[in-house]
Amino acid sequence: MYLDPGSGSVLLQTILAGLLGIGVIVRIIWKKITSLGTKNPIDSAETEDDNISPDEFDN
Amino acid sequence: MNSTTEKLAPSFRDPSGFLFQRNDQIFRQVNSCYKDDYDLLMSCGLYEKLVQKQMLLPHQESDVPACVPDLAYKIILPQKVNFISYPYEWSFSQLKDAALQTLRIQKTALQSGMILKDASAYNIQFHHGSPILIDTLSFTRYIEGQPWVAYRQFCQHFLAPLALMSLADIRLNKLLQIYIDGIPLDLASKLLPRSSWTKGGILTHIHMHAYAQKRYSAPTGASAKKNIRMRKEAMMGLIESLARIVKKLTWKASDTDWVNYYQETNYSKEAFEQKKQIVYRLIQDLAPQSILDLGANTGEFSRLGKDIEDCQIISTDIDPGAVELNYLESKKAKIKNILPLLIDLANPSPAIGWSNTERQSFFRRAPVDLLLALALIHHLAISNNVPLRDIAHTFASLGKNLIIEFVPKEDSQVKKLLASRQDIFKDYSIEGFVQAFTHDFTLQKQIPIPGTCRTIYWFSKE
Repeated sequence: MYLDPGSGSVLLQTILAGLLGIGVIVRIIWKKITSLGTKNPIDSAETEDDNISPDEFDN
Repeated sequence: MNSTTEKLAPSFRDPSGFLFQRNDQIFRQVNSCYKDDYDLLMSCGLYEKLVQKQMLLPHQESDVPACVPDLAYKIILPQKVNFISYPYEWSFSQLKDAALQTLRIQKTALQSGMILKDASAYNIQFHHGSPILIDTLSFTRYIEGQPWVAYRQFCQHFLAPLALMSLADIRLNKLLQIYIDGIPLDLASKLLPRSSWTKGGILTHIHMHAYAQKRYSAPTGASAKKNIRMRKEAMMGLIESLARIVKKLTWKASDTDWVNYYQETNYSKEAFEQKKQIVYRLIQDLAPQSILDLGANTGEFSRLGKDIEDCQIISTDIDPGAVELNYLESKKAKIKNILPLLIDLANPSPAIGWSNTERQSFFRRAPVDLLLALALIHHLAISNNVPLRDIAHTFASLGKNLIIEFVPKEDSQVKKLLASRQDIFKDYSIEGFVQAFTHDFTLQKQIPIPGTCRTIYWFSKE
């Protein structure tokens, strides 16, 4: 790694990411619960892994 | 080393490889120390996925001799980018789109078991109208538990300037020109208004980030770092959070000087259409491969060249609002060959960085087949006091052909400029103008614009 990540930056991002990660886990579990019985589990898994929802990153 | 081979300055920071130019082609040497990451990028499906989604510049592996053979693993030939521009030349939405593209790439990489090891705004270029990552060597294997090394760089290169432009003043993007590795977060924190402390994302990623940098500097922080682990879900959460914050930052191009220029000008609708026809015909006859439109406003006249095959149009203006509208219009109309840029012609981007060679000056990048300078000369000659001979000489260094509009003293716009100052511009007349420009150019054509006192001139250097 040629960049210095900065000690303060690493510490802060870890704390923030820990909190934000909980949201991601909750969302993944929620998606799995809501998709039960409605979709083929294989299709569902592929969508989960591959898709970046368009509205999430589009300007 | 071959005599026609030149190692290019901007890529010296990362030991993974570097760019070099040989016989007008730009290659990238991949060094042996990056072998594992390069092979993983190419074999894990990430390269294909990113190229297919137009997020990463495609390349071909090449068998040309290496520039520095002792270090070399492979040589690749990236697709040509027509014009290299820098973040301090971008409008708000250009920087915002580049930021979101970086985060999108980061998320895609994470899904394939890799991660961006840098998040420099200079690694993004506008290619065929959209932001794209040009540095193939930006990826490394993702090791779960490790934090994002480029988090600070992302905040400095993207989040801080966007927040400053959106919440403090649009002109603060020019701080990127002073700070080559992005705006220091303590400075951004100081310049942002107090109300920004109530915005969760800005509070944490800029204000608290700046505090953490100051409070937890090495060596105490370094020892703490070893014990820190970050789950993949946490990393995803961080990326999504940054994307949400960037998306929420907005700026409306309504308060700047030039965005209503066409509405306020002294042209009648008919005269304006006549001018467009004259310029359109000249551009189509010349069929240039590159156009530089100086003082392009919202790009109305730049777009006259959009259908010329393989023509790259650089459309510059001094006004951040005009450049923003130009970009948004080009994006909406899916025009792929116009690049709007924020350039002050009286003070264009200088050469900056190490040895003054890392980022080239605008004029070094600018030379084109055709230069457009419409409704501009009075601003340079009268508002900026630049002598006509100097304008002609500078224009001659920028383009082989010049389409220029002369705006005489009788014109209401010039009268406005002279209303509050002494008229010291004795040579500012049609005769003085033609005389000044025929020193560097040959006059090819002059066409008066019906219904106005203005004239369009076509000069060439032949």
